[in-house]
Amino acid sequence: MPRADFFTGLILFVLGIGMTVGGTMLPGPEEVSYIEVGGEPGKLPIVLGTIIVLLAFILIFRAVKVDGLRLGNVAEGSESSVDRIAMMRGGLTALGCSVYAVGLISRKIGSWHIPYELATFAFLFLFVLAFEWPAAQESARRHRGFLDRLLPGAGRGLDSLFMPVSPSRRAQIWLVINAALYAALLTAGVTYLFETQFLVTLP
Amino acid sequence: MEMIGDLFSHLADTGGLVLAAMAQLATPQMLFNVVAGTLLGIAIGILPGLTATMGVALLTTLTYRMSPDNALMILICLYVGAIYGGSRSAILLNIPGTPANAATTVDGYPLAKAGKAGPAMGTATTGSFLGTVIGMFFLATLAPLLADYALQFQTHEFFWLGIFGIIISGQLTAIDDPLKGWLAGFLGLGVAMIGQEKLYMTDRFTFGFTEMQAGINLIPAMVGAFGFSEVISVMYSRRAEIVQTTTRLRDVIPNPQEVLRYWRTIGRSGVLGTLIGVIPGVGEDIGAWVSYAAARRASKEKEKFGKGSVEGLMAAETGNSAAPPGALIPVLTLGIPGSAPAAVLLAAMILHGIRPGPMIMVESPGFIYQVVVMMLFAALAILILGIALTPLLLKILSVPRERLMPVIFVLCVIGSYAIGQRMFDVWVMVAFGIGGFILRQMNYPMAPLVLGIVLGDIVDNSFRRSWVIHDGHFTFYFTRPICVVLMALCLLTILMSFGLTRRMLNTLWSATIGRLMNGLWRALGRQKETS
Repeated sequence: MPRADFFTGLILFVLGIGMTVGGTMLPGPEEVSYIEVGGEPGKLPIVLGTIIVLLAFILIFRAVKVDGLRLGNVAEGSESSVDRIAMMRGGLTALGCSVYAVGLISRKIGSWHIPYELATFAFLFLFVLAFEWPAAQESARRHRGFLDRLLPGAGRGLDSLFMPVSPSRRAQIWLVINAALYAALLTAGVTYLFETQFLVTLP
Repeated sequence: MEMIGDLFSHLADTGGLVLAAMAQLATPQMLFNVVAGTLLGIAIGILPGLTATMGVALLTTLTYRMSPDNALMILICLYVGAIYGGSRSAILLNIPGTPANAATTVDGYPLAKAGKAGPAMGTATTGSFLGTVIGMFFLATLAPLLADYALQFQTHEFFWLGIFGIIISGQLTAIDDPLKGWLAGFLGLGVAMIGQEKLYMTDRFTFGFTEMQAGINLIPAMVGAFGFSEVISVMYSRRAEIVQTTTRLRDVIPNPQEVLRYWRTIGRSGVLGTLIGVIPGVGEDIGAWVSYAAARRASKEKEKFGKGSVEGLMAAETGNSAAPPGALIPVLTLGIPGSAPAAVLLAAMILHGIRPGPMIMVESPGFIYQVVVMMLFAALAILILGIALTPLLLKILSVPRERLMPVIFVLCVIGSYAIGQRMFDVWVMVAFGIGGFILRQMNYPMAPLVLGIVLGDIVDNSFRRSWVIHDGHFTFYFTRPICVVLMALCLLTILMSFGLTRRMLNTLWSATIGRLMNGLWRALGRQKETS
């Protein structure tokens, strides 16, 4: 954590300085006649900026004191132990949700306005697909056909003879259909509920 | 004698006003809202990662076209329901459904592992019901008195009250590292500085963007910090394993004798939870931990705590459920929220045209009692629904997160967009969500940040107004006792977070007041013996 604290401290330090400087640049009674002495709009931002600078400085000082100036080295048991899969899941969620909210909703492609329903359907469908795909693959790997269960070993060949689509492909197709149905149902439900029942204007 | 007479007359008056409010609110439509709000709240609470704040923030935007009574009834029931609902996942998964239920896991999960999940859920339900009722009693009796007293507050006192709120909230929500709590709080105040200020309509930090002139709206910020960031957190965390349990109704129904056995713990936790709730921006989780610690200290069965103590579970759940009514006391009387969900409720009240604050008893004298009745209905609903629908409610835990979280995010988008109908609010929600997630990973508490955004206007306006009134001199801060007390409290809170000063103050306390009190007790003891 000291390394993270160090960099956060730096960012907050700059932010605090920005706030203080920004506060001093706001107009006062000298520039605008109706602003009274003591009521300057920049007064509180200057105070807050100074406090943030002070607290950020303590944070930086403390981080340096704990870990020295060896910022290249990571303290044992901190960042190095972060679960990569968890990071990937979190990152994918943040990215997917941001793309939906900022890049799809209320956007135009040329002169075509992307409908809310289509954007929401695409988001729900792709989200479920992205996160359930590995689990579907795993369950397909463990899946054994009827004849394979009846005659362990020899049954596998017979299974593939009667069912030309592999279990893994079948699981994928089923997931796609399932996710599409789920997304369509929820999109329709959400749109109906909020537009007609809660009288909310959708984006 | 006269004082006791006054007290009884105050209680009788309060009872009458509560009954009048109850008669007004007990309509079929309202009762439907109670059931719907509470069930939704319990469902949100049960699902780890989804919090009361997120639920209240989302529902605020979705109910703002309803009448104020209906909307607030749903929101208050959802708030109480979510704090209670979190106990289910705390007991069965060892993961608190909301941060308020963290203390519940300590004894709830060992009880479930010992095959007593049903009775544990019954204890949690009783504790939550009684905690809410105790908190509600204080809300009904103290809030009107505090509102009267708050009329004496002037601008500079409101400024110091806001600063004290930020400092104490930062201190108590990040006990291990108050520095991060204070930074979050002052950052929140900084965020509130964006947009046109209210005294002279000057743009601050808008960088030429017209959308930013209206400032950062609280609701999208809250939906982001508590909704979107929780969606990321849930997807980021590992899947939890549920304790297999029989969910027979008779196991969950609480035993009155068992409940009566812990009447001291219930009373103490209820009072402590309410008091913690009153402290600005602190909230239910601290209420639960403080109640739990106090129960452990006073218990005759200390060794059972942490290994499946019914008393510990009762204390935690009573403490966290007493906090919501407590958190509404400063909301209604000072316009300062006692917790993060209470901050959203404050915003919801303002959206519906109610102005909480010192003038509440003058402008809407019956409103406090309506809120009390809403709390009472919510308490009854968690008791009845929480027990009767146990098997059904547990099914919620089996909903896969991959299916639920995208729906929550779709609601976050609608919730942020609905009030202002501006895409800018959706972008604010996304920014606060990602920023909130990163800050949480680095142990920055979100409650002081939110409190900062809520208090920004009050702090800024009262700070500058007081300077204008006193011609730009600061000596006025030392001329009013309330102001001096608030300043001293701020200083003391900061000093107490340093080990050295804390030890010095403790030594000073035991050498002076402590010695004096000991002497007094000894003298009283001797007098008793001789008589």
